[in-house]
Amino acid sequence: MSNANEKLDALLAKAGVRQYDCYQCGKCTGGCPMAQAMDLKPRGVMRCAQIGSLERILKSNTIWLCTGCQVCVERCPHDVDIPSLMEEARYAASDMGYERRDSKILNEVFVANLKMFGRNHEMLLAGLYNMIAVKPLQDMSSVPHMLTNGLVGVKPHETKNSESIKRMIERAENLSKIRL
Amino acid sequence: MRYSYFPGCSMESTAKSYRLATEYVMGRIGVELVEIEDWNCCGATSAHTLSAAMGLALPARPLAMAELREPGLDIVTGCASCYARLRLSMHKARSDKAAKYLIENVIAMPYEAKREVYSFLDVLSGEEAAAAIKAKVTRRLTGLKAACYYGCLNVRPAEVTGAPDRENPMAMDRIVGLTGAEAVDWAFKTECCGAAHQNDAASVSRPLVWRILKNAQANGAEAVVTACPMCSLNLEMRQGGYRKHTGLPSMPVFSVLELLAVAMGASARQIALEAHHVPAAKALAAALRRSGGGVAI
Amino acid sequence: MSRIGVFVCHCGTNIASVVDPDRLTPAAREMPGVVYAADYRYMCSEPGQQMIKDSISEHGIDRIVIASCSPRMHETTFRKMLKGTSINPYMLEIANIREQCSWVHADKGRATEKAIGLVRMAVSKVSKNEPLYAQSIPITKRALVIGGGIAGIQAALDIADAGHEVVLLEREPSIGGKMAMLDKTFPTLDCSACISTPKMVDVGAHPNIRLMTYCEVESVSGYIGSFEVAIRQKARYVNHDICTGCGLCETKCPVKVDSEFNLGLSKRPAIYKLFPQAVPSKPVIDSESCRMLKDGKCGICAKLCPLGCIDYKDEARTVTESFGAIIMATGYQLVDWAAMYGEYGGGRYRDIISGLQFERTVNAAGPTEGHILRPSDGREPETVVIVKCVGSRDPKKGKSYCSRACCMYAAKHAHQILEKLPGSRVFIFYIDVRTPGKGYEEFYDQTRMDGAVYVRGRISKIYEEDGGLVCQGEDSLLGSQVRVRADMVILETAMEPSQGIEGLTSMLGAARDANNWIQEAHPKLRPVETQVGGVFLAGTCQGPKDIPDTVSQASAAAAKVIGLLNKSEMETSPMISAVERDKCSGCGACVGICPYKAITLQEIDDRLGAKRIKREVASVNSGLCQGCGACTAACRTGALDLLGFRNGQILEEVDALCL
Repeated sequence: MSNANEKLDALLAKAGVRQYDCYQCGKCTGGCPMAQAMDLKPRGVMRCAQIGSLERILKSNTIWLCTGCQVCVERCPHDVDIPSLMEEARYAASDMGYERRDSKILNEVFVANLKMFGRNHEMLLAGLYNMIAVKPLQDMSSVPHMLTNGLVGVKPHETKNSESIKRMIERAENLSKIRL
Repeated sequence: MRYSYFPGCSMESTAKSYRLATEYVMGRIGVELVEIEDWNCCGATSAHTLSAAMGLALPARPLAMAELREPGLDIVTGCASCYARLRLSMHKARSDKAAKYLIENVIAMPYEAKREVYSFLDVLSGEEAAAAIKAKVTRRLTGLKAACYYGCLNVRPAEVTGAPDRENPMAMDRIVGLTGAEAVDWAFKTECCGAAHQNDAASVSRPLVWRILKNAQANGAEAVVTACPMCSLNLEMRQGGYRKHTGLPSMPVFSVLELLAVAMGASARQIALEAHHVPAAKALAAALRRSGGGVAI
Repeated sequence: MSRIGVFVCHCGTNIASVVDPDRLTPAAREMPGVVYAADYRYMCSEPGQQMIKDSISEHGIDRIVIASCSPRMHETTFRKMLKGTSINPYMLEIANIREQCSWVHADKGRATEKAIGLVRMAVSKVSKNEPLYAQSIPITKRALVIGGGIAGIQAALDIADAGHEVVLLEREPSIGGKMAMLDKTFPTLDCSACISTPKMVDVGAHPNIRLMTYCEVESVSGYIGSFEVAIRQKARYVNHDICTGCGLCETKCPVKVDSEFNLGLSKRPAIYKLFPQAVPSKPVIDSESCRMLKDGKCGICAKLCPLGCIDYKDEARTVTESFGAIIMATGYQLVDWAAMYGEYGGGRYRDIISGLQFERTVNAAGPTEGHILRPSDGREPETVVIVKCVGSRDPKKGKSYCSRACCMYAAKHAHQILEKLPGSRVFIFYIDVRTPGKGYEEFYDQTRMDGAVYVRGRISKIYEEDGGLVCQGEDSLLGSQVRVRADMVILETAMEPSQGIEGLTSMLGAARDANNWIQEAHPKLRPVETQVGGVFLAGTCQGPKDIPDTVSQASAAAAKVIGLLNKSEMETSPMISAVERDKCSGCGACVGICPYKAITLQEIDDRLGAKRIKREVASVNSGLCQGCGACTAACRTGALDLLGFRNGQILEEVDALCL
């Protein structure tokens, strides 16, 4: 068996998905809220898993656009856990450097935020993301309203013990570097 | 009725009206919310996308804190995303020994997952709470046609949430009914609003909001009612494009707690209705007028 | 000392190419009690059989072992052969050296060793065999057909035409079943009523058929050849002996409830005939909705009836009838899709109907007189979406099996819509199109040419928006999400066994499969029989099928019944359980474990020391016992033993192999 297939099999096993459970009915794609923006539809992801094309799954934008809303597995006649497969595929894609740029920026800014305060500082998150991703105007029209009404502020809401949360996150990050 | 309470990050900032309404209503119906000491963010979408361990550990820490301080209390949260993350950690700690081991080692605390995690909807649907609500509603929001939006994460995945009906849940519809408002029959109660990707994939996520609002309006709703600050913010803040895209008027979005608060007599100021992005007071005032009271909101 | 003959078959090369007869036959010759052993190319052939018979007389053989194929294949053949010899047909053992040896092994040496072992076992068992004698039981020349759909009708007519008496039992007020509800039938498009109602009339008029409608089976006892069936005639409240079916009573009844026949698409009165062509063509009163029966207020039908047929005091009664054979033709029902598919609105949208509701809609005698109108506002739909496999091929929410008839059914619906509503559009969402039947693929082709658009993908969600039904799914051939705005949606829903099948099959002792369909005795070789002697199967109670297959199966079941009823008595297998009364403690463990209800406790006179006592012992009904042996394993005292498979014989085989 080729190396690629071993990798795919390991990924499917971790996701708890048996690719041949899928009989390609398309109910997943039919109900997926993000399907129109995906370059490989959810059914296509399963098809790639069946023909052994892991690379195509990992390079798709699909795994980054999946919102994890679970509607595909909810309605799947064979209960194929596609969201779980998407999650494992994201980890594998990150390992191989296939991460989608905007997703990577957002997620990293988000976690950096948590490391600082233990809680999400919404203003800082959006601001930093917009800056790094070079989308300075995104959602900014709402900012004056939010500032006047005290919906967001400059002062962060912090946990008392943000240092311990930072250490916890780092422990998790170190664990996630170990890939099976 | 006493619960350990996980507010979630939005409750401290963007969900101002939701927070004030929660305090108002829970106080009225005698639900005591004991805020979990030194709670932290549940990690939302980003944490589990980066690392499975982080995704499980972040929500587990406040749950373990609650278990330590208030071992006799179940946990409640008002945010669908927090609810899904908290419940998943609870579920994994109960059903998967390896996951429990991982969680405990990362949070450096024991976590036995002995208590349940509930949503506001679960709490307000209880018999005792429903009776208390009935007793405290002093003015009716007659004829206010509301589309109850549950969001995806309040109901799915079934094995984690235990929700009996993931396509057409009715718990919120029944609560809304107690205020005299009319919960309309519509089809997008549990469709995803795309909140998770409104920053990093904005252009393709906006239509998710629009199609929800459109179906609500097509089925006669004049307002959307949510049970989540993230859903609320997303459905409300992203209506600029909706008007342009569909030519339909914008639509007020309330949390179910705000609706209850108003029906229990809260003034607009008490629950900061002016903080809404889409003007909200008008629809409520009209409903109150219809009920014959002519009470100013 | 027994004198055993061993006969080794080559089965051409089937056995001999792997198992070496030149080693096996001499080895057999050395086994204890064997006085003769020989091998031959085809033992089952005429010369092969003659060779065995000659050897028996020549060598004074009193029992034989045949090493050949599975006993399922030729045991009966060799038993019949022994009938013409000096030895009892049960002094025979088959060593299966084909299916269980030569066909499954490649190593010739080791396969031959195994064959020797198998023959050694058979030799030691046969040394303990004893002559067994078949009993014969009388046959009541009368058949019961349960279910008055097209399967039951066909089976009843065939048996009756062969000259035997038939009782056709139906729980509804009329026979006709699902076929009577259909409009046209694929692939020939002949009108369902035109081909089925004449048969219904034939049933009503046939001198050999007694129709028992509005009846249910209450209990069944007995066995092949002599079943006793208690039948409950539900109260009709109308005296059918004098009623002429004039229909006056139905016109003035003030009650209006959903019509079962029109599947809720129209109303019917409380006193009603199931449909205009009902057989018998006489009404019954539905006690659950009749005002007179519920509240004692009304009585209009009694006042109107010119013959005084109405009897509000009518009561259900039970009669017991004897039959030699029973045919199950209990049919199917459609799954309750609304309870299963929230994503299709869970029954909230009136313009989503089932295929059977569409049949009523498009039928000239239906609620819209054949006009295709959507239920919500009575408008003609311009766009119709047909969804296949709703509840079928869905192990999570519905049934894992394919319901077989829906692909053709859907094509027919599309054809009818396009024909009746020129300019309309029809989209059929499918996963696979399955057309294995005569003329079926051609019909599907024609439907596509008629303009039906086939879209490959399972619909994920149907919702109402701006007065239309939006059907959202994937066009999986295109690889993109599609939304079709429809005015009406037809769901081709899965078949499932009729309600009540559990009770009926357990009364009869017949097995059901994992999906609750009635289990046939063998899927290929005994498709219309159940495991229970004298109980046969016809139509969809055995599994989803279409009308041609249903009718074929009904005629096949009828042929089996006719074959049985043509005999005046029949032999039963002597390989059944026997009780040694002295050892039996009367604990009754066997009674509960017997799947065929063949064992009862019987009181006998006995002695305890000098005292006369009465005690209970197990008693086996030879008509019911199928020789499965479950009771012998359950018996604590070893009082029960299976003739032909006695514990002693089995142990002898084990010893031969292990010692």
